[in-house]
Amino acid sequence: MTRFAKTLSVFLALALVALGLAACGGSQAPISTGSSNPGGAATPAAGTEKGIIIRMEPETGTLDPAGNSSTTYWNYSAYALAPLVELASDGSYDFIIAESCDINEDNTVFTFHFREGAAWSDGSPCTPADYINTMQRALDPACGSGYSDFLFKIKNGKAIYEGSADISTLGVEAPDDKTLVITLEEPCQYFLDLLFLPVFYPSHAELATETNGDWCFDPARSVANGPFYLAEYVPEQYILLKKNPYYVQKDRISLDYIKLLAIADTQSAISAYKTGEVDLTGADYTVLAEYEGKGDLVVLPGMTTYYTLLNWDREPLSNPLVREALSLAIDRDAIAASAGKGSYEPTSFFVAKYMTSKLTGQGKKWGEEVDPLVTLNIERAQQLLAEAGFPNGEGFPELSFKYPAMEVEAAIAQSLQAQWKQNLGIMVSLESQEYQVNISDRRAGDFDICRMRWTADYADPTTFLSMYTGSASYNDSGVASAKYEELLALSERESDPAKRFQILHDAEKALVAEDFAFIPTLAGIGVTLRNPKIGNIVINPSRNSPFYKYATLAD
Amino acid sequence: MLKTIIKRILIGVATMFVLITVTFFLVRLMPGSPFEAENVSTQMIASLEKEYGLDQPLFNQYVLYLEKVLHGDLGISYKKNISVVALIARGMPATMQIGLLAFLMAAVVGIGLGIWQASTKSGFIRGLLVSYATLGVSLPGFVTALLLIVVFGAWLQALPVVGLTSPKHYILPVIAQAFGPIATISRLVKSTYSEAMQMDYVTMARAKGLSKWQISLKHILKNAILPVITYFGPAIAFLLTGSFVVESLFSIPGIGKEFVSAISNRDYTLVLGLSIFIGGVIIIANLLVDILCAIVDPRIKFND
Repeated sequence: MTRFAKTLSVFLALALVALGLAACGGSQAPISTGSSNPGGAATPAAGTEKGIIIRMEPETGTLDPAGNSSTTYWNYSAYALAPLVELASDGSYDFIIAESCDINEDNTVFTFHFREGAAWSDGSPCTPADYINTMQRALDPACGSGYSDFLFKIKNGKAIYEGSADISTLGVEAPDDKTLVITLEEPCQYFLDLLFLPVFYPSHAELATETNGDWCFDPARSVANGPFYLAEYVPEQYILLKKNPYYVQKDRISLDYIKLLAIADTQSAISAYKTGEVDLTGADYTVLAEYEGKGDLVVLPGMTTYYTLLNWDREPLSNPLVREALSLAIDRDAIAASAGKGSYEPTSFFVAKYMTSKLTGQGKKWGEEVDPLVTLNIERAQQLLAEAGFPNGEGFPELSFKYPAMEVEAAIAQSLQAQWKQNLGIMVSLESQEYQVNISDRRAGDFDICRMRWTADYADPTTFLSMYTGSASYNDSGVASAKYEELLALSERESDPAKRFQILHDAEKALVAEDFAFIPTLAGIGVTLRNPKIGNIVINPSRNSPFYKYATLAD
Repeated sequence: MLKTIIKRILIGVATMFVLITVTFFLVRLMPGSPFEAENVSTQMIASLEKEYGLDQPLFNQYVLYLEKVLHGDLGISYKKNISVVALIARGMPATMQIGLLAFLMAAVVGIGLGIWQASTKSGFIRGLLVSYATLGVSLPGFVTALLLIVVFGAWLQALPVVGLTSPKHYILPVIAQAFGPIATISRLVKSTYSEAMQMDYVTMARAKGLSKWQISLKHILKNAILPVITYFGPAIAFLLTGSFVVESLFSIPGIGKEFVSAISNRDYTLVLGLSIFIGGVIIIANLLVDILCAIVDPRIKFND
């Protein structure tokens, strides 16, 4: 070996190691330069502090309510940011930062009166300007928020977003530091229900000026007006939140800290629950048998409806008789059984069946108030199919059913395929697609039959029912139901809640059980594992998901 | 030799260019948009795409992107809203720590098992090692990882399964990541080592009365190691660029996990940025290994 080769070989061996070691040294230090927030940052643990560790899905998006807020934001804001008003478990309004709200007669002007002492975690007062700050920034299309269109309800909101009006014309004003007046474009009965959406949350008017900026992850600049403040943020690993001494309703808070731990995989999260590394985690049906009857298990019906789109622009689905036949020929219990009992429930409603309804004023659920919209009737289905010109399915073209490659979607599709074949004698070919491909085919209207799923954005049936008007951007299957659209328009003019909910029930019936626009099949159920020592878990009716900010921890 | 190295580097640069070009157009061929999600309306998607310049002609976007890359700017991740360079810098330490430890473990244990398998006289041990080697090669990574989590985490409660906060946290992910490569390396070593054992110079060494260890390491292994080093190139590249399975199951904040989610999110800039980074690591690792081989075995010449 030459001298050169020897030197080189030493160098190379070192280089190989360096290639690996290069970045190893400076492992990620938590970002905690904070002096703006009280107490700076320290790891929890140490004796007397009471706290819980909650699993969260790994990071996506920013913590800025005006930005491209996503899963991480929802996890964070539930503890760190406080809305003006939120829904309590029983469906009533729980005033948080606002202490009251005056609403004018036709539901177009909402005047919020702020609580005395509302403050941010750095001690500065929380004022209407902080709420206006988020709204104004979220009306810049560059903000990347998926919720900007909810601001279109506010006067000039849409015009500002589209660039045809100046931001100063937005229908929000603060006559003084304790009053926020919001003027709407049109009457909206459920406006208060929308206030838990990110765009209606506050961001500090002086500190949070750069949309999607780094400030939101920096404990020094990312202040909180909610029960907990950001003490430590370690990207992709955890978020540590500590009790905010300046929170205006701090008497309601019992925990000293909450740690949100990022775990991507559900099975890993379940294992982490078993090892005691997390106290709370979303799980799935696989744990139901193991924890049956134990205090660990929290089962809550979700606000998600799974349904199957039929393309009205394609033969023979354009024929209402065919759609009705397809709808009547299926047994929803069988679909739920194949998708995993305990994780899914059959439903014939489009609106989430567990949404709190205002029809009776008794806090009943949407699906409890009226009879199921569609029930299994094979004989009638066969008759309808014959009327449509396909006796026993003869001459019926083979349709394709597109769905994303996900367990539950495959179960629904396979179950429908089998039932239609058995009950009606028609063939449907299954086309499993990658998730994004499926969305883009659906958006383009390129399908015969396609899976769809919708989760309530807010606690009013219109979060579902506004989707299938002729002009709605989600109407991918060419639905054109005149009666439904008429009723929906009527509901907007009705100010009596009971009457309005009756109209909405009728509108849903027209859509699903008269025009058979699509086929609702399953309702999702949320399964959570929680450390039995944790008490006072509050259910947020907006999403029917558990809230842990008021949680207590037994010794 | 220097000339050849320079030539190889130039080929590497050309490879990078082809990689960037192909990846750029391939990701755009995928249907879907980075802004599509369940509850986002079509109008909203269109306005976001305009904002990020995704409505421009594709070729213009490509030229613009190349220009940026030359300035070391890999753009901003659409989903995470932070620069791709920062994201890679953030994910790299965890991925590299696990990767390097797994590589060292695979090399040491793999070579050890290979030698043991070649030299043992016990049929039982040989059978055991052969079955491990077969299992390690054929068992998918996620099965190994889940088994480790369930057995050592959930059942025995002996080791933590989330993140990398203490040295203990490294044990399971490193084993999970090294499990396959150990098997491959041990098989390679076993076959080359048993071949080398038959050589005359080994008999000669024995006749000279050298110790077992001296013969094994100095005489046999030195000659048997070449194919193993060749395998090190892809292996180290594979281990250092992260494993989606290990990273997502053990909740490790690395780049392997990032890569897969970037693809399903259609996060174009992040997919491209990670491809460039991982491509770079693979090219460099292979180059280093090639040169190392030439040094270990002087018969390998760099004259093409």
